[in-house]
Amino acid sequence: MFLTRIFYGIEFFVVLVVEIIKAVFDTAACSLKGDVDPVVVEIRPDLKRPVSLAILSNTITLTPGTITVDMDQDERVLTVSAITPRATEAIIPLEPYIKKMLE
Amino acid sequence: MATAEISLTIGDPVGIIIGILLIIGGILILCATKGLICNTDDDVKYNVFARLEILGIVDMVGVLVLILVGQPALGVVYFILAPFATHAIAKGHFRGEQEEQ
Repeated sequence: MFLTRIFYGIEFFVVLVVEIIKAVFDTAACSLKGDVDPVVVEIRPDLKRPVSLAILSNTITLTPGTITVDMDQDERVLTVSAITPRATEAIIPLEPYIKKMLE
Repeated sequence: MATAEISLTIGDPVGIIIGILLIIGGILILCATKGLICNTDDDVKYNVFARLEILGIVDMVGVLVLILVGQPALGVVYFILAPFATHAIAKGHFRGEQEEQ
């Protein structure tokens, strides 16, 4: 079981790097074109452990174009800002990987 | 009889790759610069967050450069600590100046 989680962790990190690279170029394109329309939304990820929420918050902030503004651990609500309006799935693409890794 | 030895040297491939990556990083920094300069209108709601999101590009390029110049440990530290600084600024602005919640 522990070894399985390590593999999930490696998978998570690889996907994270890929997402970061994509986000860097997307955000750079937004900056060049001037398509900046920041929004703030609340999302309720399906994660139970506080450490999962913390890691999800960090991954959101690590990908350029989205940052985590606030986190309510009791209600498990994240306040997230995105540089352009987008779907929730596009803001938290790594949630299923974190779920597999930690829960 | 003297033998003429022709030595055809191809540039160091690793060095070339590193150079290309550094150039790409520089271009990305310039893109981020334009984004920051063109988004200074304080009347735009959540504009501070937009600028923080654009600065994320600078953070990632910083991590890449640290790895390329042979300081991967510093790169890892930067990678882990960067989001916390961003969180602190964003939350401080959100609950302070923005006065939401």
